[in-house]
Amino acid sequence: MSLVDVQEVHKTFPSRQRGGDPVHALRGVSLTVDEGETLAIIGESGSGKSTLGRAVLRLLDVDSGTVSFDGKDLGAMDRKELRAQRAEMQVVFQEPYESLNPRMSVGAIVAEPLQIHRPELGSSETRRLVREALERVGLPALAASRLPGELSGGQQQRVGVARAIVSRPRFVVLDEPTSSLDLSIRAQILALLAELQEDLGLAYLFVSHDMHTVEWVSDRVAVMYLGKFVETGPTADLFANPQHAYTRTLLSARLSADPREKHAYRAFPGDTDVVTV
Amino acid sequence: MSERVVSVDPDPTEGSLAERETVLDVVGLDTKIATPEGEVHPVRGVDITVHRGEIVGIVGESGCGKSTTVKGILKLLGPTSTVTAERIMLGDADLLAAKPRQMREIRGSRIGFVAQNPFGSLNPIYSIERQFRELHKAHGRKLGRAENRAVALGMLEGVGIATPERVLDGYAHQLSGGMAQRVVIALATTLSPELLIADEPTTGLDATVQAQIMDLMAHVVVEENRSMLLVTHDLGVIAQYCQRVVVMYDGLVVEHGNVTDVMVDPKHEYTRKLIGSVPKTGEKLNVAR
Repeated sequence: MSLVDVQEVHKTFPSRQRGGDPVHALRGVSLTVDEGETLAIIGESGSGKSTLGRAVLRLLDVDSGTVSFDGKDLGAMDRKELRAQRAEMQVVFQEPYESLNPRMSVGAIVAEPLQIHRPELGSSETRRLVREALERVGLPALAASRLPGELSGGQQQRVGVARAIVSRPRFVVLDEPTSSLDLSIRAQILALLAELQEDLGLAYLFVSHDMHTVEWVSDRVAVMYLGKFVETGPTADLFANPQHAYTRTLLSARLSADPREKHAYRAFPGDTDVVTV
Repeated sequence: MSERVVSVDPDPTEGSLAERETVLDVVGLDTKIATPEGEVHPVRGVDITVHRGEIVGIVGESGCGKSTTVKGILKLLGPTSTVTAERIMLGDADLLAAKPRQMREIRGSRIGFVAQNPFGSLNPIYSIERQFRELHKAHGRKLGRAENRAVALGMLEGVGIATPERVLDGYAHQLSGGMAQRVVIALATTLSPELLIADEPTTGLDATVQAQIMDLMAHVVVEENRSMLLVTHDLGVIAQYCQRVVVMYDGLVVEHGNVTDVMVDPKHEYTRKLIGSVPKTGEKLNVAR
């Protein structure tokens, strides 16, 4: 049995324009994530990949379909059960600063999941676990007394990761965790995530638009286009031998940092720049 | 433009460069900006040369001074800043000595500027057609309405817009990011500038749109034998589209040279570190302990 099992999920949002057509963000998506593996969801703006990340954690309710974690149907859980379950399923967002309360100290931010999920812990035990989480993500113990605004972008994202792992989850959704970071910092955060996965046996759902990053970190990939997966497979196979025209378009848009490797961009028929009138 | 049509000389020798016409010649560019906490010095002694027909990239991470460098060349830094240099020459024009009025004429007619956010470059309350009209007016070119429309239609077709009539009659907010950047490129090249300066022109765009926009910009440069100075943090953009590269770190040029030399065999420690942070095609992440 897979740790995460998503079957035929649909989600529609009302149009932002009066009288506009509803947006069908997820159109029958199914996926599984096993213990300790990384499944990457790759897609461009508006493909539905972030909606999917939220649906998997039941941070939003789906219209139809099921989302199960460890064999339990999240859709059938009441608020209390869901809250207990969330200790095991956490998330790291794209913009570290926006996802951290600017008025809370780093220590208080990282302690929050423990206060919610492990209220029985005493304050000294909570502090010990916070210290341990900060250490795991490579932050010094004295970072606990800092405010997020006093830290660099890379350090802020380390805080986001510490908060995600402090409650000992088995599964973490990584929603573009390195997209807003400079290259050298990005590599450090990706290495940290890989190390944590190995040490803690985490399963990741890695949502990204960056093909280099996905190829680097994932075991399997699902390519998302207009709310559906057009292709899924083991990362190495899919990158070496893409089957769907859209996957080939995406791969052709990669710009290699090696000037000796040249790709020619191949347009996708559905890939149109249209005026929205 | 479904294929990458541009084939650039990957390895121009020093000899051939020396024979090529110099379009932009910047020596010893310094910028100082007064802040409440005192003066900062974000760019210190930067030299940049761009030859005709060439795309030169400036690459570096946040805060390295790459954007300040091009804004200094364009004299677009605010009144709290000072720009000094040994020289900033655009062909025969001395930009260092140019008065604000002369700079306004040069920007647009001799240097086209493409910024990161196209919606910041386009006027939200003028139709796209009117923005072409305003461009001609600002540079003292008298064009009738019909003539302006014909020129604008041609420019939009030239940047690969399938429905130029509709775009001309519309407004910026009706365009996708990629379309808006195409319109900005059309506006930036309408007066046939010899130099394009682009500051992160594809940052924030989807990868497929980035590839299309970069193909278009390279096409616009090569086709018309123009030149481009391109600021980016993306080493893929440098490797695939530039012939020469300037690597900046902390306000200084740490390394420069032709792209193949610098990217394949970087000499400076910072360049090596930067290139080492990019996942290579087909490579898996190693957990460094």
